Amino acid sequence: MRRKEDDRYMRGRGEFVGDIRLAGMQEVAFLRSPVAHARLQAIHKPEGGEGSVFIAADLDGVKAIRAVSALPGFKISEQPVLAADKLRIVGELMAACVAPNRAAAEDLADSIEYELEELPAVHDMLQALQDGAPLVHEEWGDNIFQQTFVDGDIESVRERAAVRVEREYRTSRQSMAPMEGRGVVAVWDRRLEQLLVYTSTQMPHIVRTGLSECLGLAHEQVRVVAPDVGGGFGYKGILLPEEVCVCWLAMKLGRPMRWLEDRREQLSANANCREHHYRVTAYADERGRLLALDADAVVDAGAYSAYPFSACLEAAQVASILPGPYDFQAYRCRATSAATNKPPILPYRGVARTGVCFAMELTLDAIAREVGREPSDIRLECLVPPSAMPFDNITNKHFDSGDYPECLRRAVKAIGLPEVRKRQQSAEADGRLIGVGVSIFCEQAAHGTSVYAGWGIPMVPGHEQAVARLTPDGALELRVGIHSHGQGLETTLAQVGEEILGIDIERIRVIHGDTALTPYSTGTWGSRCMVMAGGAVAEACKQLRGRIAVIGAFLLGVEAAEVVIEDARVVAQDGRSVSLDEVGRTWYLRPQALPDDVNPGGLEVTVGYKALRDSGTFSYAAHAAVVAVDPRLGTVEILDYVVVEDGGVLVNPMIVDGQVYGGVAQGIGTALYEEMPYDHNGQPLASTLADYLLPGATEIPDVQIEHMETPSPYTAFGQKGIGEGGAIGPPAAIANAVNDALRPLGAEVCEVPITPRRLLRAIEAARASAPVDSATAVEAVS
Amino acid sequence: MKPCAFDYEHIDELSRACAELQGGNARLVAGAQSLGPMLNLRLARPAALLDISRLPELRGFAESDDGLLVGAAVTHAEIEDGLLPDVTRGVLPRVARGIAYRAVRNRGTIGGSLAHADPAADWVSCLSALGGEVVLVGVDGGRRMRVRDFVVGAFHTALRAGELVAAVRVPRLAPGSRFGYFKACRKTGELAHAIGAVFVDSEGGTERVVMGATGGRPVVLEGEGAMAGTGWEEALETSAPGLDELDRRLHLETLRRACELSETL
Amino acid sequence: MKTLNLTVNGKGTSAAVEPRTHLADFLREDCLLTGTHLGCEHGVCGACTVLKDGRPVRSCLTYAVSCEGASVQSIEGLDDDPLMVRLRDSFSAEHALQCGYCTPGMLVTARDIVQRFAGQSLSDARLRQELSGNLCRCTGYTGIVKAIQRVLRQPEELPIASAPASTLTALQMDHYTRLPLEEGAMAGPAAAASSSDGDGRRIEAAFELDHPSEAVWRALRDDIQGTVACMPGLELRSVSETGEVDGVFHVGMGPISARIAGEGRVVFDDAACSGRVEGAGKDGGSGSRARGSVTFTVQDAGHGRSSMGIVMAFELTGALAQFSRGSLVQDIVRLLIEQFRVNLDARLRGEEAPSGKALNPLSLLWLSLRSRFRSWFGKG
Repeated sequence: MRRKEDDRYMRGRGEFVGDIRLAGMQEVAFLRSPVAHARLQAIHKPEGGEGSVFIAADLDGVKAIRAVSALPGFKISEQPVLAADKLRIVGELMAACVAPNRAAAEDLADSIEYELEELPAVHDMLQALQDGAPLVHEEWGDNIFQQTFVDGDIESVRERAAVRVEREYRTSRQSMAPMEGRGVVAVWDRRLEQLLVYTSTQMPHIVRTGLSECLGLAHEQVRVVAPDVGGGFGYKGILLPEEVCVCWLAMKLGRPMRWLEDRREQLSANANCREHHYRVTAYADERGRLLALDADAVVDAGAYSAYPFSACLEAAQVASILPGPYDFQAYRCRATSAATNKPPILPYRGVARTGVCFAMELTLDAIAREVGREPSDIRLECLVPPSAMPFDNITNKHFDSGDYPECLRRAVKAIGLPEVRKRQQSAEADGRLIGVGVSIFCEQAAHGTSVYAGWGIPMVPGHEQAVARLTPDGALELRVGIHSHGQGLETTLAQVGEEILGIDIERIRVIHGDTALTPYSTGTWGSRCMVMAGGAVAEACKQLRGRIAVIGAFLLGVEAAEVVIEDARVVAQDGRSVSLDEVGRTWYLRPQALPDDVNPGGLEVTVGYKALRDSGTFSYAAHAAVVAVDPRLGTVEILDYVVVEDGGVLVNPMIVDGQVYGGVAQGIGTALYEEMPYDHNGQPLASTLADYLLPGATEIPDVQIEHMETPSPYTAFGQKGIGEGGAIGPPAAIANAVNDALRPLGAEVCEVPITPRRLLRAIEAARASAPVDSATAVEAVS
Repeated sequence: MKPCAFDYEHIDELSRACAELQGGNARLVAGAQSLGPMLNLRLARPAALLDISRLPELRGFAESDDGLLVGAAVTHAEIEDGLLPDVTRGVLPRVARGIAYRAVRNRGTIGGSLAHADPAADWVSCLSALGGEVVLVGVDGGRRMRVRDFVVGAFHTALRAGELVAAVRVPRLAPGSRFGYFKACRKTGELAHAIGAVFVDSEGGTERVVMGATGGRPVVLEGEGAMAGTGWEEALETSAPGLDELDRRLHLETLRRACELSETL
Repeated sequence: MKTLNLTVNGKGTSAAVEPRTHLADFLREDCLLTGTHLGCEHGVCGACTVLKDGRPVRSCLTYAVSCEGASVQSIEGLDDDPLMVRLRDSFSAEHALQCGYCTPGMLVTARDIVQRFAGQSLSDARLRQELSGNLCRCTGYTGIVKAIQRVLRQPEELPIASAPASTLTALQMDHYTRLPLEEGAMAGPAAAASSSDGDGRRIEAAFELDHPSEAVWRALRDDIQGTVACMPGLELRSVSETGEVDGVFHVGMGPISARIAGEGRVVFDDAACSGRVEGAGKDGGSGSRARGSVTFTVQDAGHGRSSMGIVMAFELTGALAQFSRGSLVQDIVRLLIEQFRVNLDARLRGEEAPSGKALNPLSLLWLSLRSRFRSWFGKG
């Protein structure tokens, strides 16, 4: 099944925000803070810049962005649209400059004089929590957005545990780096008294709500359109100060305004993700069965709480999902959202799961090494078995269905574990070390009201709605409030329509991304679209089918209960049929031919949908990797990579595979390449793609994918959310493989990305602390 | 980001390029593949660009018994594609193929790369090993320098005001000579973190190893036994004192790989 | 504005453009051909790849004015290209695109790969190398590799256009070989060690001077302006009685140059023969800020010689600091210290005072060697 959306992209006919031209449009460039922490003492507009340079004092009636969580103890940060007194991150907006083109707008920004009093920066989350650290928000008294506690009886397990493993882990700050950056085109429609905003977002309706709040407009005065969007991955799930400012400028100046985020802004000034730190103590029995886990986790949430996900979502998730797909006796966790002088973080593909999977799976491997057993074997002892499904785990996550042990067994088989173990017996000709690693995780997706209400963030998903409309010529229009930017939903949602109404997919149009045309939705995030929008489209098409059947049956002179809809025709039991074109034409153009008691709602329905349980679907996967580690250069080559994934019933296997391939590539980026380092002044050290390494074609191996298809008992056709999973497993699987390879040296890496320097440092540390026999091993390879 | 405003001029005579370079804040440009990013990021803010990419005297080659003169504006891709007589028994095309990406190689030039003198640039290390030279032409005449001498530090060359790289001289390599080249990169096409290059011509009595991408000028060791490894550490310590222990080891290992992987030409 | 004449997608086009407008913006904003996408504007991502005279180039690193007389083809111009038709079919069949943003550049590169490797068996590994200049964030490249292989392996003959002809010519360059070969001025004796820790960068250097320590100290101490003039690019605008200074530091790194203006303080410790200059300033152009210090000590090295130790510590913030290759700055500082030594030595010998305004520090190094050049050029 080829994708409906491909053709326009391949011909250069996609329309991204940067492709939109409006008459009289001006461009905006921002003067941004060069420092991470300072008082802005003065800012001087250049001579003649009164009508083209705007600062905080000019923004009459504009409110700061507030993303508050209802979690206990959450401290509020206000993110100014333009900074007025304090600067808290490099890249924070200080002034907006308007000119006929971007280059001239940047010239204006260059010409602005300002005075700063630099303050010491909070450049690291652990430093942020130390006594006497500089304060990002002075009024708080500390640098903690929020802390989440899960208490458990570790003490009772501690005494009888034969094995105790302690580790510290860190995942580096990353940038999601979609190929297209953010961008906004805004224009005030004088006729409609409405702000029309084209923006590169995953959640147009949420942006609309946020804009109306910040700009003091009624919802009906804001229309948000997300046209083609060049990748999201979580980066575009935010209301930006730039969006608010550009809209204000369009209203203030009465002409269309455009701001297109460039790569430097994307990397160095706007949201990041993934920066976690863990201190973990795990207890296991003598066979390595996990008994208890005690963790202290910190998430670097940056300086501001991002709208709508807030600064607490990631850390709160860490606390609730760290136990992974396992069943064990005791769990305790403290998860802290720390404020630093860095950009806010947003949930990136997999959200906190990539970090917790890394921490949990490396800990299990450490236990396996401790007890001398195969890492996959000790996992099989504590994975939730299929007989226990559905299963409520230690943090009350409700695993809906699946066979986790089988998934792992298949991955182990596909990666050829015995062959790798055999290969490890003899030295490689090139001196490299071979290692094999696995990771397994489950992924809560499409979780709804009950879950998000608990977090109490600005956005809580409820029913997802879809509009289905039969057109006068018998085609189908589907309108959904989510947005598709690579996930292929213009195709897969059409497939759902085709399945139910028998209308050829070519005659089904999926309309998304325009708040004026689609039902309200929280948008595209959390692997929710196929479950929620898919479910809504299914329900809407079913209702529409009923209405079509009534009209079709009337035209055929039979009862509605006596017809079926097949191949875009209403078919009577005797084989006579009428086409949906005819049904459409009749409703719209020949109403005189309709029965008197026809449903006046006609051939257009809006239907809401929620899964039978809104605690989410749990797709799951096991990843397995074979790597070759060069202990002299510190390089890692992935020789083989396997994913065994269960996403429930698959609507379009090609697209699901594409999501997995793409996710794995991003996970490999997390594991080996991508890092947004900051120096002690809070200066970002990767402001170009020459510094921030995105994996290219040579860095990604061929990946084998196997599917299991255990239906979710709670969704419309058994489907589960699958979009993020690929990105969760790789850092853990690869790090475990690397540590397996390093075992002869007694070395271990506990931080991603595993750069050559980190790897060589780990070997160095092992050399320094090694007992005599493994020191010999270190010598042997060095 | 868009560049600051600059003037732009196509140069059609070598002498005029030299004259215009003498005063003001003008920069020569050919492919602009290194300068372009710096311009777009507003890190470089020249008043004018003088485009020499079409100067006929820079767009050709001259072969002689002892080697090849390559015009400075010959692109990496043209070298990769074998559009020049191959006096290096495949070395130049092979190294060219490893520079950045094809679309960059289609514009970037050998002379531009040397004049830019990024320590991590391939031609700096490769030609230092082969004993390549640059031909410098200025208002007062011209001179030649060995590439290893020409690059004096990070982004610094021996070019004087009003002088430009007109050509690159590559020696003809004898059959039976050996060449090895190894780059430590985290991903394909990125600037190397370390480069090792080795060239041995036993009959001609040349043995030369280079540690490149050290952050400064290339570290060159020459003479019998240069390949053996003694003296590498000391040379690195003297010439690239800014490196930490891990980087030092990376450079030594990279050169060791270059030697190990070297092949008879 | 410059007048530009070129062919875009087969049509002759004439336009007035700013020299700073790159080809991608020219195509997008002037020609309204928005199929060419910008992903980084620094030549890494490949989204903006178009054909110039038949070869793929980065349109973000190609200024429109450099395309005078050229033929440019963007994705729109390849709509009916027979090879592109096959590639499109194959990309769709193999799910080689998701969000579609990298796709036009990817297809232009893919077409070039097929053109160059048609009829050859191209391994996946080599194909991936050829693709490495085009980043895709969605697909993991799996579908892209398969799609290109599918076209390359099609049994039907591929519609390959002839490769662009070589424009290189054999030249007469004999005169070049007759030019004098200059030996390089190899590294001076300044030993420098540098380190970069959490608190910025620090560079230490030590060298000997063929002058007695007392003379060196006096020279440094009594003529701050003269001392400062030995540091290439450093210019003092004022010095107060109490050591407050106000100055500008011009520093260059290849095409990048900064003019850091600021204030500082000079302190001398006569007993220890040591001094310290510290200051902070700002580069007006980039908005970058720098602060740092130079500590120097002079000691007697016997036999009428002295040794001088210099420690430079500095920190950068702003655009100039925001790169991973910050260590390159160390080499610039190393060169500055080396030239400081050469200049100080010259001054102590009573030779002409070097100019403090030089933008390119190296010009000073060569200044000191000028006598040698003169003789080589026969003009001495």
